[in-house]
Amino acid sequence: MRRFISPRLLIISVFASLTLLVAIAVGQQKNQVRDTKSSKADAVSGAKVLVPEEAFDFGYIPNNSRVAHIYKLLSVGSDSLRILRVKPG
Amino acid sequence: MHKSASVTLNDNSRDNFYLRLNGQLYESTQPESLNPLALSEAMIDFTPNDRGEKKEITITNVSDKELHLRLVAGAPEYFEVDLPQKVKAGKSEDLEVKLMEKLPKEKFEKSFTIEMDDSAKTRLTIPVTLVDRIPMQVPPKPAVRRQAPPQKKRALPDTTHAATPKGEVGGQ
Repeated sequence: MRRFISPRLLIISVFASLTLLVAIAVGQQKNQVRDTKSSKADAVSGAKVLVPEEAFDFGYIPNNSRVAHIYKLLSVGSDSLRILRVKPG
Repeated sequence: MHKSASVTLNDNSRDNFYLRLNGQLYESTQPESLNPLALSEAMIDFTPNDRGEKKEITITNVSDKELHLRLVAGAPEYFEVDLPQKVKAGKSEDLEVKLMEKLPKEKFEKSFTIEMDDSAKTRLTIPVTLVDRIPMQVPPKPAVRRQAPPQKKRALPDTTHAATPKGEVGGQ
């Protein structure tokens, strides 16, 4: 019986196939990592604030006294809103 | 008076903005000098014993027009404000502030703001505080009867038989 494929050629083809499969698998893994990173970036930028009131007028205030007002910040984005810094002036 | 605070958030579309406060100071010892609404008191001070109690401020409309009032800011978790809806020209009404029975904190410094419907939309802010110390009531000391110290008896000079100087007869 004649052999159409020599053993040497068979081994080389199997090795090439395996190499190709590994390359494909690594490429897919890199794509998954890239997608994860991009989704994280989208989540950070998903935070959004709505400030219904940015200024308040107390009117007449007695001197040497303390008064207080509460400002509301509404989180309307897809990510948690965080207050990073408040600097009074 | 103008104050502001810079706020930075993790909102990429709005990284930094300002919250502003405006006000006009007046002498706290002269609340009756305000216009168009004069006050009998500039502020309200509660003590821990005042939980559930009310305090009043008399507001007087010193203008020539009826004023309608509304509460624009307060601290409902600490106190309730019973505000008269209107004050007639030249008349006075009482404003009541009731301290809540249960308070989020034992002491606070809050305020409430009312707005009038005059042409300037005048606002008035009244501070409300609760101090955590109760005035010390020192009981009066019991009266102590002091006994006079015993006095030493002094021998009185004998004047009945006064010695007469030599040469003199009798006493003149």
